[in-house]
Amino acid sequence: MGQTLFVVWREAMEALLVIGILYAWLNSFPEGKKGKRYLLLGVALGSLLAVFLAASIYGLSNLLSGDSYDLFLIAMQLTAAVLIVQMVYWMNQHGRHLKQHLENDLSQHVKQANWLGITFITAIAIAREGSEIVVFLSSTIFSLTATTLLPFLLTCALGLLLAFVTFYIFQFSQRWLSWSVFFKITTAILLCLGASLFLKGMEGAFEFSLNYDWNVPNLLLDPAWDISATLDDSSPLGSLLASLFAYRAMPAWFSVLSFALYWLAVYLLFKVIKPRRNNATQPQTQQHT
Amino acid sequence: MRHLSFVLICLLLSFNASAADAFTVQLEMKNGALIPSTLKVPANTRIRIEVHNSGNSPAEFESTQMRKEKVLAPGAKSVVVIARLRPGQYSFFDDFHLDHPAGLVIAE
Repeated sequence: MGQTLFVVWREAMEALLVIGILYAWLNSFPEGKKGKRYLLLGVALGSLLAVFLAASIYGLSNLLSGDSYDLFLIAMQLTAAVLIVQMVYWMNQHGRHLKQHLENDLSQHVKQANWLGITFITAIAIAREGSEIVVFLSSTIFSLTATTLLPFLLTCALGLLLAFVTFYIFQFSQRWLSWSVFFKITTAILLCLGASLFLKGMEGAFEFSLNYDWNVPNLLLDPAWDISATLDDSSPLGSLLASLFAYRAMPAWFSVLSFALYWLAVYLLFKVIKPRRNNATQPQTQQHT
Repeated sequence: MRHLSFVLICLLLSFNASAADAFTVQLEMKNGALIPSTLKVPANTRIRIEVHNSGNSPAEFESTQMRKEKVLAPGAKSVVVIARLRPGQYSFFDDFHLDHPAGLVIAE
């Protein structure tokens, strides 16, 4: 029973973080109310997609199988990473100056695009891990007996409770943290999730190409370091850190380069491009954040 | 022109050669148990791990170090293909049964 609970909680963690943070962000400005509909749409879409992916895993659906399944996952992960960075950038850019931008027609168009971004980020976050939860739970359901039924139902109830608690921690933590601190922490969490998704997508693409005989130089395949003695990413904590923060005990140089590329891009975007755009649009008032 | 044809033929042959030279191993996953828990494979060779979930609960063959992930419903069989493994030891695990010990792939 503990195993079931841990698996479901862990898989749901990523999606819960995303939904919890986005919900809190939407609550922070009046126009955000509209965005909540898109969040809900993302949850619905993600759940449907999770069931569909689970069906593919069971072999019930041949629409996505073998290579197309792998490619679909890679595309989902890379898309989610890009959308997250874009979303975080947009919130950092406009979040605090929404009143000024409301007067500007351009902001309406920009906001429309970002509402959909919320939908897709949420949908993807739910779909991938959700499909594993669906497979896990459905298999468990099929093999239930009279004695295992009650513990299973209790586990599900406990799991749902934990999910709500996690979700509301984000909402309540806003009360004892200043918005500025809360926003910075949640920005960091989302960017880390983006890094994890980007790395998973890149590693998937790397493996896919390798299988199709892309002749990769040995250096890219060689492990950069091996700290699995300290924290193996095959352990419960290690795999959780791998999923949420892109921790790798023994990454190939390709993975290290991909990871570095993501953070370099994020750095450039936030520390170089954003200040330049701020200075260009607000020449009178210098914004120092 | 003749040199180009020669090179192209060698290239084609090298594609076929790598597919034919795959080293196959069997792995059984049974409710968290990994049988065998250690797999010895040759390095720098294409490897096929034929995984069979013989348990009554779902399993997930996962290795962060080998960048592989595969969910297996009870009774399911699948193949995990690894194009090339540099010499070393790589751990893998059943992501749905993390309370069981991990396995090891030794490439040499």
